[in-house]
Amino acid sequence: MKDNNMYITKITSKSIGIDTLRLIENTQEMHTVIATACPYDSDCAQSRTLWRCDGTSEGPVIYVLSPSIPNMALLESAFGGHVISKEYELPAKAFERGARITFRVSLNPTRNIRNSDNKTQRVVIPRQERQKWLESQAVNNGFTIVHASSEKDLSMTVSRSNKKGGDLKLIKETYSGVLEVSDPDKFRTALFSGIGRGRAFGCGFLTLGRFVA
Amino acid sequence: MPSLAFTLSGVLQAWGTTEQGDRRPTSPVPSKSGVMGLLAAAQGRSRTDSLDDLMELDFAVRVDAKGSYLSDYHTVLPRSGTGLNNTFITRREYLQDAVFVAAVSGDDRELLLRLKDALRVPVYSLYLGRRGCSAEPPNPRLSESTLLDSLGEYPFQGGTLTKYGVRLRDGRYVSNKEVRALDVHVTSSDGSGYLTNDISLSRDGWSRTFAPRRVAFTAVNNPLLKSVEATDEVMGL
Repeated sequence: MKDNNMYITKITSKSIGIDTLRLIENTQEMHTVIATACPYDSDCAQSRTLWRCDGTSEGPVIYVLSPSIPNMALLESAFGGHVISKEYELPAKAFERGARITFRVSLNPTRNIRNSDNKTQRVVIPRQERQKWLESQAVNNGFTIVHASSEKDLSMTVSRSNKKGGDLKLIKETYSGVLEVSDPDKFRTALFSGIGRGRAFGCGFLTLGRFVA
Repeated sequence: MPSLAFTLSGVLQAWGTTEQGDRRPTSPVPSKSGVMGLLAAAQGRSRTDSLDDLMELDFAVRVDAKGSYLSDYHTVLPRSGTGLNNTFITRREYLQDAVFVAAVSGDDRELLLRLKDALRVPVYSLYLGRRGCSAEPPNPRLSESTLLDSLGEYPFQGGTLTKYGVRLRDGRYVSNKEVRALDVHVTSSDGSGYLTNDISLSRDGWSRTFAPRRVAFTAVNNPLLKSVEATDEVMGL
């Protein structure tokens, strides 16, 4: 059970100016802006900030999950849009075993392998194995996939890193569909702490839509 | 009544409905005489052949991109035998980066089918008003819909749908609202609208004659946005 409530923020971009577009395309910048707006809280056990950018028919929408209320003014000026934020509360029904809910999440489809030098290397999961990989990720996080599809935006985002190695290539794939809760505790952790890698860069934030029969 | 819809797009277009000697303006939308002339050229008709059967078709134009005006400083060297001696200057107006979708409709389905085939493999190179204005492939579509319905179905030529909104041909992004409704110019049935001299009566070389047509404004919904879903709700918000 959580002591502190997390906050969910929705940012819609009214004016799709070139500045907003540049910002959204630049994953490193997005991380910087969102991390600055949602400061790290050392008191809170769960201080992970998660975010996801969706492309909708009305333009880009960004969802942020943070341990405290974000700096709304900063977000408004960075995105030139409308920001709303409230305490993230999910109905108890969402944590019942067997509950079927629509979902969306962006994940980083990679895994570790042992390469020819017997060193651990991070590689991208081939397309044919993605479905299986998604299902195994789900099981580890307390739910099963009833059906899911990949949304057209399979983005290979290159984000600048000042560390050695230069640019960081991040592959991000967005899945949506219907899930079924199998392990409520793992599911809760997944919802509030995120799934998989790349959480600083817009991956891992599992959002729910509505209940389905 | 079946309808044939096709794209009129190219770097430059010029649809003159009034020739005024030194100044050759363009109408902001394609003229019926100009477009029927394009269809005739596609069919291989000569410049003096009659356009009467085409003039009887119903005609409408959808504006996918307005374009902008270009006024060209054009010098004309007179030919011998015309009685003109000195180089003279004309200002010719063009529309740049405009994109239109024209539609014709009539009872004769066979004629529309022939026109469709002609547009796909035209006898003469197609141009948009003036000879220098090459036309991009018109991509004709024949359907059983009425004139305006066919314009509501023909795919949007002014841009594509991306996750950031609609990306116009010139690279700008606009929100869906901006292109939700597309202007249509159609022959007026209730006396409203503007008058334009674009019904071709005779085509004898340069002594062409025209009759006026009243054109009304209407609009159709952009077919690009038909399949777009509403923003999904997120639980907890």
